[in-house]
Amino acid sequence: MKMINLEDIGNYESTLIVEESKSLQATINNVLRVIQDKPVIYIALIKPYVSILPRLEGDGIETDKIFFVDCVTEFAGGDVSEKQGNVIFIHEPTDLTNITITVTQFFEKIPGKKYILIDALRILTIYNTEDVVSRFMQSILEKASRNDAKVVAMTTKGKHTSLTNKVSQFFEKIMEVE
Amino acid sequence: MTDEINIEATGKKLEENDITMVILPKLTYSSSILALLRIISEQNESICYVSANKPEKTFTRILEVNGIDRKKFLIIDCAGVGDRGRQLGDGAETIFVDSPRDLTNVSIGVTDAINRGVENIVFDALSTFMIYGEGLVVVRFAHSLISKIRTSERKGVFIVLKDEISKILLDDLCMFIDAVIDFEANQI
Repeated sequence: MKMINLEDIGNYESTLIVEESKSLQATINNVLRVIQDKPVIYIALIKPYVSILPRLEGDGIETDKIFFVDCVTEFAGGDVSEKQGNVIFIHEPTDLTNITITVTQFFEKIPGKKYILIDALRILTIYNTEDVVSRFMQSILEKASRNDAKVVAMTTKGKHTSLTNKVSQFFEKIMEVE
Repeated sequence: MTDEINIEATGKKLEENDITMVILPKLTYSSSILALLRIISEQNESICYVSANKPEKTFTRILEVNGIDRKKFLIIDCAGVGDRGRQLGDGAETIFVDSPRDLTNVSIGVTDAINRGVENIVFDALSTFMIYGEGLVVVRFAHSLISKIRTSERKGVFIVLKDEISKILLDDLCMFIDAVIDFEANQI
């Protein structure tokens, strides 16, 4: 299986990466390695922030400029009572309105060029319909283009291709594992 | 690769990763699960074992016959309806759930186990829940439980049988977990 060449990801306003689910985390880390010179708004849907952070740091990725929108911790009953680093907690992955509001807040807080990383669209479709996810994705892309932000969204290969087909038209570049 | 090396490698992988998926072949399921439980009980003082395949009574007997300390296990029995009136021995804790279809009560049971301080939660087997529930519901259930285990800083072992029904689960499950142990493929 060939690895995706991520080096030219910065050349595109929006990229959809279609990856094998078992390789997704490694690819996310590789994406972050490529874009880490700019601030990154990381919409975390797979794992809670507390699980992501040590693994990124262990993988030698600078986390100072990563701003997390954590959609997992609160619905899993984790502690969200105290302010923790660059993270905002979302009630649950169905709360797409609050994800959008939080991303907008980060846009206002972070001037200049930046990235939004979404891991992974497939998780959103576990909790929402594909049409809702598709509209959400379109909204994020519109807001990103008005706020000097490039978007990298991850999704998985396999049986769930209808979402990929629905949203792929919104992206400038599709990168898929061969 | 000898069995001894496999056990060593399996133990190392379980120790290094928070959430592990273990794929077991159907034919050697009984012996594989025993080897796995032996490793997990050596690594942990308290384990929550979610049993969708065997009632607590059967599971307890298997542990005792094979010299594995039953007192280390808090069992969530989803397969033993009708057995709940049985007198349990000292330290032999069990939470009874009506059926693997009752995902809400399984989830409540796991939360209870986490609050009681278990170190590791073993699901035997996640693929059994697929027989009783719709695919997407079980995937959501798995994502929710794995997230719960992560946020409470415990470990989880999710057993999946190598069969047709599990294929639906595997794609999504691979996204949530940290490592895979495939007994058949010796990928450990």
